[in-house]
Amino acid sequence: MTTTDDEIRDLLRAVRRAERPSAGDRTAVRAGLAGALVSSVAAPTLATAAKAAAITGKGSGLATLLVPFLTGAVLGSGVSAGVFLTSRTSPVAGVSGAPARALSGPSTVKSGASVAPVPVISAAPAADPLVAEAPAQASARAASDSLESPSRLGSDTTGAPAPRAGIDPLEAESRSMAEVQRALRDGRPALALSVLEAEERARPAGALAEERAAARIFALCALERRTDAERAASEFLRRFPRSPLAERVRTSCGAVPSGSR
Amino acid sequence: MSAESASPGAALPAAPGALEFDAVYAEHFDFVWRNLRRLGVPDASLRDAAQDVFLVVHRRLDDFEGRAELRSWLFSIVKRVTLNHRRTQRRKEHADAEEAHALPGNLAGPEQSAADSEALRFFMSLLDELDDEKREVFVLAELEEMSATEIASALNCNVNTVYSRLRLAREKLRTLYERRRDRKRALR
Repeated sequence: MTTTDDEIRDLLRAVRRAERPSAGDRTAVRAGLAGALVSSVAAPTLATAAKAAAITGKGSGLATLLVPFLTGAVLGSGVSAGVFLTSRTSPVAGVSGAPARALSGPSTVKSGASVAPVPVISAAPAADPLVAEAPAQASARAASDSLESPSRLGSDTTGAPAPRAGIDPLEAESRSMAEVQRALRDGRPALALSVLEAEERARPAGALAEERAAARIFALCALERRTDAERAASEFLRRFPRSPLAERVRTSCGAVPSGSR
Repeated sequence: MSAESASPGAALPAAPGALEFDAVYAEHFDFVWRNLRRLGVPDASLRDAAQDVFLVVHRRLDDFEGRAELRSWLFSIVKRVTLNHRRTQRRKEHADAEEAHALPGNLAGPEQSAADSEALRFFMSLLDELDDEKREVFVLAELEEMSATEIASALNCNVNTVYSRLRLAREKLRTLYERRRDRKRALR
């Protein structure tokens, strides 16, 4: 019709060509997503996750995404990936369908309340329940950042990880670890510790004992309970000498990394 | 332990839910990505924002149940995540957008790739000057070529509102474009 309209049409065509994501964007988001979905203690950054994905570099599905984290590329949990991936709700504590509905529920849910199937520490006063979880899950936030960030948790209260009847123990354990991770990331180490201790009582021989032990050390460090942290670190290294988390545990309270001495 | 040696990709059973999510991710990643940017997420935050969107998708996929067009549903998530990101990270160049983003050069020449990138930046600076309601409708209608019904569903408004906003958005964008173009010509 007019020159302006033609120019704008050309502009939009150019925009469409230019706005495609790069392969690197796809890879980084996919890997970061996997990191966020898995209840990893280490809270891998996008860069870390991308590295893990680059190492394995297989497929494009979520199941594949989770693999490096569950088979040890990042966390070395030693947990069978097959077990985790047999159901959608198992590996992705707190982010799959049913748990999500519980997690994004009323913002006033208190720990231990009967309406909460698990300790709902993410029941923050979120303006929009649809995205209530999303910002906290953004995996590119470094742990140091998250420790300084304002807490999104509703309260310091926590309860024992009381699994609902019918919930797979592994799923319940995964959920608890996801809560621990969030608490650590949100700078609530006391809460993390509380959940960890309750979980330890409930499932002392759980599949995620290694991750739990490491998370406990990180929480103790964050609480500046250095002596306790060092004791726990020694115990961790004795129990899990080949753990991929070992180096993080060694340096958890600011100690010099073993390779740099 | 070696992740390479585990070769887990082929051996693992695939969960039906995960496959469903995978399909959404594979097919709609580009849609999510470009619309996050179009609604104002800065380039530096796009990866985080895209991840946030798909975390919500993963959590909510069971709730979706095909009640609406998938793209409409995804866009509603994109919109909310964008608001969240923009709340904490305003686009720095917003205030001086006119200075920072020159009108793009020749879009058909050998330098097309660079020109396209320039066009993208320029266009985003135009979009920044639309209010959110017009911006959303314009993006969905003109760039995604979605129907008015789809747009109404994505934005939770009625079809007449879509048409009205689109008309206003086009007018506003046209005015902005002409103003920039004329200013550039005057400087020559």
